[in-house]
Amino acid sequence: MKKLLIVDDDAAVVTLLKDLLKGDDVAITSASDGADGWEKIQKEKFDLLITDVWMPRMNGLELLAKVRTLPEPPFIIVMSADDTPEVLLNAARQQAHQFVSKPFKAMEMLDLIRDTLSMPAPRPIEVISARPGWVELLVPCEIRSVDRIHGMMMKLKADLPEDVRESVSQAFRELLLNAIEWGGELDATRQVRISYLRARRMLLYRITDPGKGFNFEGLQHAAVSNPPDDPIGHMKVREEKGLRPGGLGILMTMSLVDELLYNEAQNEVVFIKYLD
Amino acid sequence: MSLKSSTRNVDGITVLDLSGRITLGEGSVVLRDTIREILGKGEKKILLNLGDVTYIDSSGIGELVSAFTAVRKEGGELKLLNLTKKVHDLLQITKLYTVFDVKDDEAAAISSYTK
Repeated sequence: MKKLLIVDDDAAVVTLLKDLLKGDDVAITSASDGADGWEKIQKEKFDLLITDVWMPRMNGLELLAKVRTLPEPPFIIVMSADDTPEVLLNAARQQAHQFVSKPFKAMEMLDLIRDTLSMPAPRPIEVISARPGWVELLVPCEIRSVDRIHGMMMKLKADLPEDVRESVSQAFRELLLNAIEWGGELDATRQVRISYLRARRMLLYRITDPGKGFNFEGLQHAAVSNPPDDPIGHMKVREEKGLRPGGLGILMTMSLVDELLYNEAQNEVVFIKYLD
Repeated sequence: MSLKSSTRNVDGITVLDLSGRITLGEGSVVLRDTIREILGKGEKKILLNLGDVTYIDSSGIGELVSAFTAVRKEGGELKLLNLTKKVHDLLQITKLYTVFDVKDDEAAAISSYTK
């Protein structure tokens, strides 16, 4: 049976989560603040820790800083109404795997808890810079890193118009996916380096993968190589090569951002979205 | 939220209602397996209702194309219903909008299939 610890000073949230998981094979313990939670974690090993951020005595981020020092820390989901970049990035620095904004949708939270409990422990994301205007991360080359990082980066731009936020997030997700899948060959021991810079008039992303790079001439399996009158031509090439359906990421990105630049080897890409 | 699917039959057309995310991994696999299952039952007229799809990535769009070609190979028809603005825009920028037969009214979509 999996063990879950919920740390929140809001009893209604604890009750809601307990009710949601009533039929699941999960042993649930609760704590009313970070200090109470830390006491319980020292006595018992948990598979998943769900914690609020702002609580009396010890806040959730202070709790996470202590939890990181454990030899086998649990999965961590942080939930808070405070989803400012400072809190988000601090949670990431303390190895939180997911950040959920309060109030959350009950069924989405249930899906997230079930998914998390069914997975083996992920490799950590290394936070090199956690300034809201300059974020730099090292991310393991595994598919689930994409959702973790994508969700966080989307929240970092909460003040931007929705269409800009969505375009940039989609472009970022596609290029990160390419870097992890093709550059990193889904080898979780390898890492992709991500930089995100926010200036007054632009957003800049740089993604560096550990692969050898590629060239556009060899990308017959990508939609970017299709002749104008055959938008699914690359799918035949993918089928012949035994590749999964897709190959649309670069073409999509070209339309979603203002500048897309590759280095010479093409294992490093920068994209820019102008804000005015 | 992962992808959830349910099927219903309307006047001989299999309507596949999808909700959640169609992304690389589980979401794409659910879509692929469901289409295979429908074709395996000999049902070749399929209407994909994407009204409750909250997010789709390039892999998900690729799965839509793959489903379209798989159904066509079997001599069937696959059409799309209730595209969200986001999915609509992505089909436009990938130039796939013209590949699919896209409908925004279920009754009209059902009656548009070859009898």
